[in-house]
Amino acid sequence: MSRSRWPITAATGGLLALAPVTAPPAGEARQVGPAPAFEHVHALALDAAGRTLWLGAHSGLYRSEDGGRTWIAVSGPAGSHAPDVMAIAAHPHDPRVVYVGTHATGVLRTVDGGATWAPANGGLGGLDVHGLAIDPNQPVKLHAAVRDGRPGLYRTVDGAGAWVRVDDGPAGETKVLASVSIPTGMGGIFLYAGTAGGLARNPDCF
Amino acid sequence: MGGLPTGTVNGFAVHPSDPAVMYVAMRAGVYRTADAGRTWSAPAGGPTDVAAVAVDPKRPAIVYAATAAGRIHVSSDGGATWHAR
Repeated sequence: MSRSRWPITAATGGLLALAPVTAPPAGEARQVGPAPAFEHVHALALDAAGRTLWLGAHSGLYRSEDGGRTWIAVSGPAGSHAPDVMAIAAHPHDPRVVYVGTHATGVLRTVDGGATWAPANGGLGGLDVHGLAIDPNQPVKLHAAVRDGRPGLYRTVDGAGAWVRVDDGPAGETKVLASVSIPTGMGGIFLYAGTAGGLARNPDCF
Repeated sequence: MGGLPTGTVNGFAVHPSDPAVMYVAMRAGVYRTADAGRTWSAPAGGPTDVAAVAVDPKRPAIVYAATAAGRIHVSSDGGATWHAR
């Protein structure tokens, strides 16, 4: 599929108007706050209840229950080592359900608020996931931007049970991916991508 | 039209009930649109070198931003003013 379906909109905004497993054991947590102990932050998200702030960084996954004043390192997501967390997608209604995309271990999912995590990579062409978007209207539908192996944009319609490659995805290195409930007029909504080249969007219905 | 500087978009967040309101995290700051991306602006005095941004789904006037170095900044007025945690 053509990459041109992802118009870059950063500089002028003009094109925007075109309108277009086995669960690892529960991780031991350790307090790292209040001084930030992470670096190379990649992702930030709130759970559906607005209580837990999740932060993804090169040094791992962190959570805060006090609006970012103090942080706890979550060491469960990738077994014994801390994953490089590139993306976080929180379920819009269920605060127990969070997905993270990692640099080397693919997608991990928790359904118990982060006590346990399990890989959710079935069908993914690679394990370097740089963007993860959850559909706000159909939260079993997610998109992932994969950079290694068979790179491209992948979609699941069953809560990351099975992924299917959609297309090449946005041009340039994807930094963030998000589903936005703006109707395309073609029965879907828009998928936004932040990339090294700016902000792009594309209908999610292909 | 426009208003987003050229460069890498590191982070993105959208208002939970009004998708015309979006935020992007860039090196130059946190940029906000209220018209689905036609116009963007960032307040003076906001955080820079921003890696990620998130909106509180229950209190969407509250917006969090994280710098690449791990500093957390919070806005309680939809991104108009910011203070460091």
